[in-house]
Amino acid sequence: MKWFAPTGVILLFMSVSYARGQAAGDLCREGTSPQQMACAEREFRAASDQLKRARAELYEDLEPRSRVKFRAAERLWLKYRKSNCGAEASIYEGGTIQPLVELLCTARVTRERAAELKAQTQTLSGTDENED
Amino acid sequence: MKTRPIIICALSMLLVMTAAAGAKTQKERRIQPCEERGSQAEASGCAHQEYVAADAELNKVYGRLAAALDAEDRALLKASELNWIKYRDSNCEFESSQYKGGTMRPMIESFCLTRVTKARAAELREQLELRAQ
Repeated sequence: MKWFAPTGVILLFMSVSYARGQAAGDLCREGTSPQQMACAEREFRAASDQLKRARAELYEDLEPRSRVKFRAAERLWLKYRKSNCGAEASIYEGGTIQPLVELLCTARVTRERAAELKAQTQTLSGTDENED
Repeated sequence: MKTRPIIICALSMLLVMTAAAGAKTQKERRIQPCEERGSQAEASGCAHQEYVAADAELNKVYGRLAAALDAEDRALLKASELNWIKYRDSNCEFESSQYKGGTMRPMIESFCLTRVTKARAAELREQLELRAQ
């Protein structure tokens, strides 16, 4: 039973490093503007799917009391994501790159949230059998 | 006399299985250095100190980023920080709600606050670096 804690820590570290690598802005920067936007949209959809799965898995494990708190936290997280990525992209205001930066930020923050919820599910269940 | 070792063996197996089943439903988390303190009160105090330090570091990074922005962008940063604070508090209240009624709850909440605060500091540091380019 002792080995899954280090495994969880390593997985969390890997996902955080991955997310940080993307924040450096080396993702979806090849090709024309429409190609870059299409790439960012794919990134966002993939992150969004990850989050939906992580959310559903966690929700299932929660007691009713915690479900209410979880829904409240999710609503506030959405507001934070929107305003944070708007602020992050504001340096490029008026430029064609602004929507790209904003969408890539949204994808990154979404992926980080999915990792956070996954870690929470592992904490609750005490196993990593849900790991995919 | 011959059956006794078998009974003992069966009983201990049952005990191990019950313990394993119990452990599975228990909350498993990574043990943090603060928890190696003597009492729960000490561990909670230690966890709170860690959070205070992480918050001070975030304030430093936030101040540096805000100073690098024009008035319009600074207003956007401020709005996003206020939204982040609401998310942070609500998220950590949720995470620690699993321990409701337990003496561990304040410590668990501090661990969560520290983790989320460090992630936010890293996020703002990245923005600062991007803007310095």
